[in-house]
Amino acid sequence: MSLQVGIPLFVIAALLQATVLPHLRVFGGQPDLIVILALAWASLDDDQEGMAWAFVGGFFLDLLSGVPLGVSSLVLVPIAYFVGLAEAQLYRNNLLLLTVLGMGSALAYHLGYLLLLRFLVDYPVAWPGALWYVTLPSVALDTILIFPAVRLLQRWYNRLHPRRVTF
Amino acid sequence: MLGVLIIAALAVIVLGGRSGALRPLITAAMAPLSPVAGLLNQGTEAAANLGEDPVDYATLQERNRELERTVAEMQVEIVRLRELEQDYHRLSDLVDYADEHPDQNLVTARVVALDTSSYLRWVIVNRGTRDGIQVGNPVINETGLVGRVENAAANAAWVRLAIDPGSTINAMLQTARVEGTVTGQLQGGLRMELIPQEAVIEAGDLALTSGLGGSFPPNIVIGQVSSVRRLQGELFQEAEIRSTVDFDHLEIVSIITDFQPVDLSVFDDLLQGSQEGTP
Repeated sequence: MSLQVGIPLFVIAALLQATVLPHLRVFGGQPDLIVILALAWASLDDDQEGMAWAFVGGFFLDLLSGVPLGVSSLVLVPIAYFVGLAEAQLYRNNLLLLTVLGMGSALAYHLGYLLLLRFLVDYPVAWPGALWYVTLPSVALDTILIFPAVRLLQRWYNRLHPRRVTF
Repeated sequence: MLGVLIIAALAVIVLGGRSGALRPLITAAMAPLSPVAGLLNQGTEAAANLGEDPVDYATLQERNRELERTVAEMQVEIVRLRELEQDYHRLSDLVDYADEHPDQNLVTARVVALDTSSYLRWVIVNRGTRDGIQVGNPVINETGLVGRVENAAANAAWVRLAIDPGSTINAMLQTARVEGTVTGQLQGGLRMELIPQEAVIEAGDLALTSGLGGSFPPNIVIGQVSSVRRLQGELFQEAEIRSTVDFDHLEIVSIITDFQPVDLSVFDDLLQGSQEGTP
């Protein structure tokens, strides 16, 4: 993804995350647009470019948040790395595997974020409430949205990285 | 020549009718022609209607469309005016508050974004250090305490809302005259803790900032007691507080810029020093 496209895309996603999505909360959870975008790109990209975008996405997330800058990037980058490690061909067209991947990575993001919030930022996390009221609905929404996000970005990715056919 | 023209005409008929080879040419030609034809047609119809009964079906249809357009425009206008009216009421109430508290310098700001994290209850406002806003400034609106500025840039400030789980406010109940600590809840409510067990608290009592600790000025309304939880054997009782502020629809807030919170970190240093000195 080029900078000219990626930066505005993540800026728009962050703005939507901070303006529109909080009004569409299910219990206390909302879809994590930037997380979905970063993980979807990481799942498609073999060159680990997804990690760089996870970093950028995390930066924009934190810019419009009360947490110190870098917290979200710190959680997102390793998740993007592990998502990128898996063979993309394996789950790219498999709904079940993609769902498991989406759910697992969204859950890992939320748990990692909560741990950093508690132990790095020293923020009072009420674990049962946070997990039931925010994490669970957010992970469910992210899982639902990861598949269309991958499909959408896949078209774009294929344009940027056309497959070489050898005879 | 005639033969050529006839053959050409036939060719046009064949090409245009069967293979559609002339479609691009037709499209290109119709592009400027269509609107001109439409205008001419309208003019002709209008001229023709001069001598006829004006209330025919086509006219009624056109009028109906115009009226529908007008209604839609009016509805948009009504929504806009309602928004303006609400802004006016909010600002008017804030002006009233400023009149009642001439000792406080208020800067009015608009909420531009909510926190991207679902675990935090913060907002970002469109005023910053350029407008005299500093970290620690209390934030209020026409109905009560909103929160506190925790971070400020030149053109924006990050406000921790009173309902944020990390927010702690020293409070006092107006009628019961007892003090406690109001903390935010992830679900959006407020809870007053550390209320002495012997205190008699009733629903409806107003919770105000006590001013203790120096983080907030005293007597700002936080909310009303909605229920009390008194556990046997506990030292303190708890009360659920219903905030007077509608945190789901925060739009305009005021920041008290001349309030300087008391820096309590000196006591931490002293405490740390005394602990290090203790054998």
